[in-house]
Amino acid sequence: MAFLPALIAARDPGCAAWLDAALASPPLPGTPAFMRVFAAAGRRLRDAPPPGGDEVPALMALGIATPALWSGPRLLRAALLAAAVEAAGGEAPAGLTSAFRTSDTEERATILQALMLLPDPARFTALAADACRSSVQPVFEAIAGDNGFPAAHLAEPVFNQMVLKAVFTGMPLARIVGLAERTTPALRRMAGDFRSERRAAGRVVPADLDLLLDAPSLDGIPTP
Amino acid sequence: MKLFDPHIHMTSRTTDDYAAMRRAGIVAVTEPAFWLGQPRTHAGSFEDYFLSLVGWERFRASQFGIRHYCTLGLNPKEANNPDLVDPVLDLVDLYLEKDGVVAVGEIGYDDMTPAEDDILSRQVEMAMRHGLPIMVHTPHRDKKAGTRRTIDLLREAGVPPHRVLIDHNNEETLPITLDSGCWAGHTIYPGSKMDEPRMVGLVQAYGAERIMVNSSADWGISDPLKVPKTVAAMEEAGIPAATIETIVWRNPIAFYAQSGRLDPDELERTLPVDQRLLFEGNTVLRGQKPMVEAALSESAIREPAMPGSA
Repeated sequence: MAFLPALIAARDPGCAAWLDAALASPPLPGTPAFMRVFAAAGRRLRDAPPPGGDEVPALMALGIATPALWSGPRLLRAALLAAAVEAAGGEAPAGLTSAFRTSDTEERATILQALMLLPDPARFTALAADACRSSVQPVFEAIAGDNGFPAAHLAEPVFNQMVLKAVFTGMPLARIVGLAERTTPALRRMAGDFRSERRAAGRVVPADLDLLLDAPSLDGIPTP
Repeated sequence: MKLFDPHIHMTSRTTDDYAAMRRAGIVAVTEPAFWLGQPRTHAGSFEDYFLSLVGWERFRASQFGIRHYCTLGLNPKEANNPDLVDPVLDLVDLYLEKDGVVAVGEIGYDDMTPAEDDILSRQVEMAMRHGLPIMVHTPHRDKKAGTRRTIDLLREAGVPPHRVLIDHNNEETLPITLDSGCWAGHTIYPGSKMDEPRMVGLVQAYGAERIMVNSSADWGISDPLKVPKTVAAMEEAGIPAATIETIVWRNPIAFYAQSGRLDPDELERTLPVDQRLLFEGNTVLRGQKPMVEAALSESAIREPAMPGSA
């Protein structure tokens, strides 16, 4: 994971030195030492340009779905997270859960967006499922949108609830990575029930619901 | 007409709301325990919340001439945190015996996870053990499936349907709820779950038996006067007064009286306001002159003095 520090160095050598110092002995995620540098990283690299050029495919190869949306502070925090999780070994899931609990909205969003960058991301499935239940829209969108984690790791009931919640909260379904591959008869049944309830209530049916229901199904089973 | 809002989160509302509700005829409310807009991180937070529902909030309501009852439970939105579940259920078990607790609730499904199944089952068992009715929240997403799954679970547990209120119904879940024999609540929200004209249509189609309406007003966009506003819409549509009274007064009383902790005769008597009273040394007043009512007949109730207007 040397790519992120190199990308940071290319933008601000002073910031790269700060990162090096912070990572000389990486604090375990969730500890007060980690939370302090994680918060402080949000005040650095704010004017850095978003990833561009060759950086984009390189970041996508690392697991970032939409690198152009990543701010400088988010890149810096992701570099801290990746090093801290690597150092934490088997303690990482508990540590990351603890870090998430004491994080603010943007810190939580960064943790969720960075999940695919971390070693053995499947370990963080419970954290991701919990984030799907968040009522804080930027947190929900950080896991549900522009993120390869849900399609790769969430179980079907959790994934389906996440899709319905995206429709409810107005997040465009086009932002859900891998939705077509994960659309199942159960998801279409839920979406169909929701459309039926909305029609019975005389309320607007979200356009995305129609897109989901009218898309050709990969399994050939018609929509209810 | 006296009104009962059987589902409203007064903890999140102001004294202005209490005064306006009383002016509009609301003299009794049930406040179900729910979440606070973001998940609590410690079981102890629930204990203080439960204590306020059986303590300060009851007192606050009484200061505006409104009788306050509550339901206690671990709501489904917070049932998925394994660190909280056991200690919070222990607290629920303890506080269910308090005066003013008229049901277990609101319990039910949100994401319909295995954890939610488990917590719902355990609280259904608690309700049966404490002899309390059950107040059920139905999910926003996958609502029909969630309603059916709740009814199936209650039936398998052996809960008599007349001891269950299933809330947040809509056009498609109401027939399912009524067929099950349970009571059916409807949340009248500004522009979402259910509105006044749609509710009028449901009453015209299904009548008043086992039907209730509530505001579910809380910290979000909601309106604590939705029960009186729905009454007005029903009157305007020509629904008979007796039908309306069944929905907004007799049904909530009949349902919650099954707890044995709500006295229907007492509810027929006006709760006199006496703002000289204190709760553990605290008052709703901020230096204003306390309003004191004699025990008046319903027709003689005057507009309560607004705190700050003295």
